[in-house]
Amino acid sequence: MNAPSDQTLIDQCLAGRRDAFGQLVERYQHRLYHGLWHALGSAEDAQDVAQEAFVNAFEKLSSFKGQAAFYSWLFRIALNAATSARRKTRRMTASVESRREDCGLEPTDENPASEPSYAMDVSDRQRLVRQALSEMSDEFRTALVLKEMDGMSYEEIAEVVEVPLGTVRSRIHRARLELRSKLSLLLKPELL
Amino acid sequence: MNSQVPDELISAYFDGEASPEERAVVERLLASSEDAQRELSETAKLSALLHSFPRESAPAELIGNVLRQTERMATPVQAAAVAAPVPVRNVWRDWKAGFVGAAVTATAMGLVIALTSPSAEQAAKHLAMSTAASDSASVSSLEAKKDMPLAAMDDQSGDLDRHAKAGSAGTELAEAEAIHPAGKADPSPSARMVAPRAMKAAALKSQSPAMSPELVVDAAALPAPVATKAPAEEQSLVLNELGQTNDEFLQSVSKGEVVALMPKAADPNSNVAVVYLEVVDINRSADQIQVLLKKNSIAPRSVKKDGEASPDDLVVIYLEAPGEKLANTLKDVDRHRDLFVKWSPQAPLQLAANGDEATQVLRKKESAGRGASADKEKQSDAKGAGEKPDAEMPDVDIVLEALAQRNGYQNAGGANQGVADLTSQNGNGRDGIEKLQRQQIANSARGMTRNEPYSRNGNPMGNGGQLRELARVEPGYDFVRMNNSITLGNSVASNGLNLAQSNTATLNPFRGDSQRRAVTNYDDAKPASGETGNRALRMLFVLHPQSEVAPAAAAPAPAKPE
Repeated sequence: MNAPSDQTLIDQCLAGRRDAFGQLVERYQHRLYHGLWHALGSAEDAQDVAQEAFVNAFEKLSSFKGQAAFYSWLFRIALNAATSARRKTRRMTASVESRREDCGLEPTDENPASEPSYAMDVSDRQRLVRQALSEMSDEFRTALVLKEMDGMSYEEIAEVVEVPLGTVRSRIHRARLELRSKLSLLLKPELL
Repeated sequence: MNSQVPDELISAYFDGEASPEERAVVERLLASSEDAQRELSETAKLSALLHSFPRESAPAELIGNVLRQTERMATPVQAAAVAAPVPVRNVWRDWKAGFVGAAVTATAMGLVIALTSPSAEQAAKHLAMSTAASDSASVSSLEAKKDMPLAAMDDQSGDLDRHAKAGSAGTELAEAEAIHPAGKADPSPSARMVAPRAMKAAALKSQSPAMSPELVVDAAALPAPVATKAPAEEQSLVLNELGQTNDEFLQSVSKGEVVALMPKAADPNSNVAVVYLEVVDINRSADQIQVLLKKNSIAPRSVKKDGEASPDDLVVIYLEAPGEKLANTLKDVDRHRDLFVKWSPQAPLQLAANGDEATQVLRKKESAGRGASADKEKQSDAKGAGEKPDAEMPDVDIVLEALAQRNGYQNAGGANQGVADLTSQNGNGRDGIEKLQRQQIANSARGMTRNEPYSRNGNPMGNGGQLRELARVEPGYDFVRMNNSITLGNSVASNGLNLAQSNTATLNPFRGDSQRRAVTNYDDAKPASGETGNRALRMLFVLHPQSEVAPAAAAPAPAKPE
């Protein structure tokens, strides 16, 4: 039996069937999380943003017009949520800076990924790629991740990031150039 | 690298995003340029590196967190209601003033929707839902804003407005202009008042087999097992017997389907189709209906409800909109039928044609003169003594009176005169109707059989409401399926409403040829070729809370004559 289409599930959800939305979450949670993980550079952020994106999508489901794919629409919501989260992070960062200035103490970093031992547990190459990606601008990184990690077409990426197709093409190309440039400094040539 | 072929093109070529011409260019270059080959190779290596990352799976708790969070939230439509609360105004005098100043569309059609009673199971379900909703801040927010002006509420409608306007803003604005030439704002201030309890009684009465011949189906003979399969089916009135008929549509209707009676184009300018909605929480449902209207860019002409209606009151929403918007509104109602216990179409009222129900009432009221309210007098003066009221938008009271009259006043004999008399004596039509309805109830309690709405054709209907009989006695009407995905299509060329059933067939009840056309979804129920699609139709919602008795048991037990 064929799985119901996204639009069918959306219609069912709008008709009051919450379980239909559960199916949508089940269908896209891994893909969204994977894309966000690389776009945001953090598993924790990816989970938070994915969760917020799904909840926001549920709230706004009646405004989904079906002109774009549901996943593109969902990722757009996720990027908005990420942007909002980043604003909060910036405020938090400012607060940390303020705390350091106020008391002269360095805030404790409890993120295990920051521990040297943690770094040794993962592939150096992948870690360096992530580092290089994290140093890129959001625009380039998002375009490249959506293309390479998520497998979106240029057209889908254009819908998600709301820029013209030509801009997507340009961003992906420039992101590749930048990433190659960064990795050439971080990785041995044979690894790149 | 060949400067004529930028690296960007090779990147797009690698991604399969180059045009055929670009591909040809790149491939020619690759055949001759080592730089181009290297560029392509490095792009491929980088891509392979990025693809070497394992597919990250979402944490197991993600879906659970999402579902827990959304469980506490309203459904998307309920959320939309929060996003765009509809103004709840105070009320009766505003409504009257709005009615007096209301612009009129001569070719309009009305739809009356009333709320009636659910089964106990449905009631429990909806009660739980409404309780949950009433606990939410959204309801508080909505209530807190109920006295805000419409314009202010419009400003707050946010997503809902944008949603409603997306894709069809231009058309809808044009339609709004057509309906309200004085401006985009609602020309008739939305207002609420408590509708006469008599109307509630009328609505309740009409739910009983004895009192609802306007339903084409035989509620009295509902097979219980079918009626209790599921809430949606419980809502459906099940055909008792189709009988033999020459009507192709009727022959195709099977048990379990709800069939509605809608006016044909024979009398296109004067019909008011009637649909009852049944709800648990009258206030909440009134708000929800208005949200649906708002979503479809329909501004009610009037909303008769006095602040918080008590559970015993009716809420009446009277509006006028292009058929397409009405179609979308009804589509939304149907899509969100969980918000309502039941909705059922009734026979249309005829408001403007000479000799029809509301017109007679209107003329009686006009002739009563001093008995009418000041506003009504103004309306009468404006029309002039000899001017036919056909071009006027009927007062909501007139519609209600016509409905009450049809629902039983003729039992008492001389319905029209009775209305006029009562109106004149009381100086207030609503009081008159209330008395009228009390009399009707009293008559019903004595076991009197009221005249059925089609009795004006000399063919009173019995309780059974056999389809063939209705079809025979009321050739100006036709039947349409109402269960499953009802939509009200626009058929303005014939100046009627086109009801469609998703995935089955559409019967345009306003065409003499009983035209059918297959539809697969709502969007297929478009106006037929040549139809303009934007003429205004009228719609009147009369919201009624659930009754305390199930519809099948609502018929008053005949009392022994004293």
